[in-house]
Amino acid sequence: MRRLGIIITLIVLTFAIVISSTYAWLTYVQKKGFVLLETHEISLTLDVNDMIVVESLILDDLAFIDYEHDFVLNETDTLNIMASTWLIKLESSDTSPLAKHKVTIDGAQPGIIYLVIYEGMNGELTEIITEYDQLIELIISGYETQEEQLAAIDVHNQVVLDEIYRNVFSPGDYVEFQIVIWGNYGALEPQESYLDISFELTLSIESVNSKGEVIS
Amino acid sequence: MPELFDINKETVLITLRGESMNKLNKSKYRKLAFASVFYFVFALMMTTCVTYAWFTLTNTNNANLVTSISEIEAEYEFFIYQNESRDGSAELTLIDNTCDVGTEDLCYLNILNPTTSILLEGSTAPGERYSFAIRITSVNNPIGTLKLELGDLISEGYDLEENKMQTAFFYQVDKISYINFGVETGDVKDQYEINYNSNFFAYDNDSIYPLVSNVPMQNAGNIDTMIVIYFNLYFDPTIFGQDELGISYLNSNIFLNQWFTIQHIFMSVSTY
Repeated sequence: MRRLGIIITLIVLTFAIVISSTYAWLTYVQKKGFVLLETHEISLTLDVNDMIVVESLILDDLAFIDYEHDFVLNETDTLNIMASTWLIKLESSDTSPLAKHKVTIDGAQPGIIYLVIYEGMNGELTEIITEYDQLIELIISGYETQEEQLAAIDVHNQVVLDEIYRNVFSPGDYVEFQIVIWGNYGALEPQESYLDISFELTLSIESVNSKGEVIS
Repeated sequence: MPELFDINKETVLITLRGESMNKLNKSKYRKLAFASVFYFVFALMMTTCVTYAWFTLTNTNNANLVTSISEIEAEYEFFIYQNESRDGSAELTLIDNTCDVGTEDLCYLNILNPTTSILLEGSTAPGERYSFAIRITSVNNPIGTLKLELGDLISEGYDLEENKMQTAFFYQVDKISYINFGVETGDVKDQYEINYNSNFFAYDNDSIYPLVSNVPMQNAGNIDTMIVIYFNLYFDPTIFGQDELGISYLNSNIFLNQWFTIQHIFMSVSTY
């Protein structure tokens, strides 16, 4: 009985060897490396005037101007000098996936006028804009009332922020933009003193990968 | 005395019987051993004959098995579509669509002899698609059929097996074409009884994922034939993973800070 078992085993073994050899003869197999994929969080750094901002930033040199004489007509040619500016640099980290960044500024309040100026991606615009008066003249031309003119500036600001959101940031890419601010005497309440008043601007950035959309 | 004699006689008889049994056993053993060897040789001979006959019937060989083996050899070239925006390839052709240098965009880059996995540049994110092409060229006369499979997955960085990032990846065959004398055909994946597959990767890393099979090594009698298989990997943004209670998350964040590799792509060319 044991010998019969050995014989059967031998025969089965033979067939197995022969079948596998035959398969090998009839089949050509090649194995190559394929791909490795990895995921990382979207991370970014925010620089304001070359300083890394974590939570808040205080601007204490806000200058007040007369809307009609200084802002619209620039009679004393001091509009550019009176401006307080934040040059903001928003940079995706080297490990971030392709991303989009939605910037919103919540600063609509009487007493301040702010203008957002797009400075381009990855330093594409070599010179930072400082001739604000020309830009303002261009934006508000054709609008008669202060209300219309300020609305035109708001539209311009939103166009800039939308442009930033349209950009897809590769790892290490950055965008620069300015927020230029003036105080507006005329919009203050009679009892308010421009020396004591303070304003709060909230800048928020929502990031999403390049195929997604910020839902808000 | 008689009793004693009887005893002696019986002893002698017993001894004789013992020798007779030994002889019988050896004889049987020899017979069985011969039978084993016979069956072994017979099986080997039969298989050799059948294999020989098979090769002869295919008209690809004149009784030289070694030549026939070399005739089913094939080489493949691996291409990764270069696409900064990671939308995958919209132009599924290799004719005038390959990169000369690695920095070019919107073209297929030939990866020379990839023995290990190639790290796709940068971090991947949901909604992204990566396109690939594999061009197979027969070393000699194209015979048999082609099969491609993906396998040997390795994953790292996950909390639960079910949340491996590979489970959000979908592989899909886009096009199968032939190139004859520099002219590429249209998509033939729905012809010639070709099998092609699309599916998500499972979290089980031991699985093999069939991509295409039964692809004829030549089309319509053309001898100078290359096959091109176009396929893509898609990071599905609607797959979210789940928590320990099996409740689905509401976004893909569970796949953050993970990596996975599909270590190998297997190509088989078979004549059976």
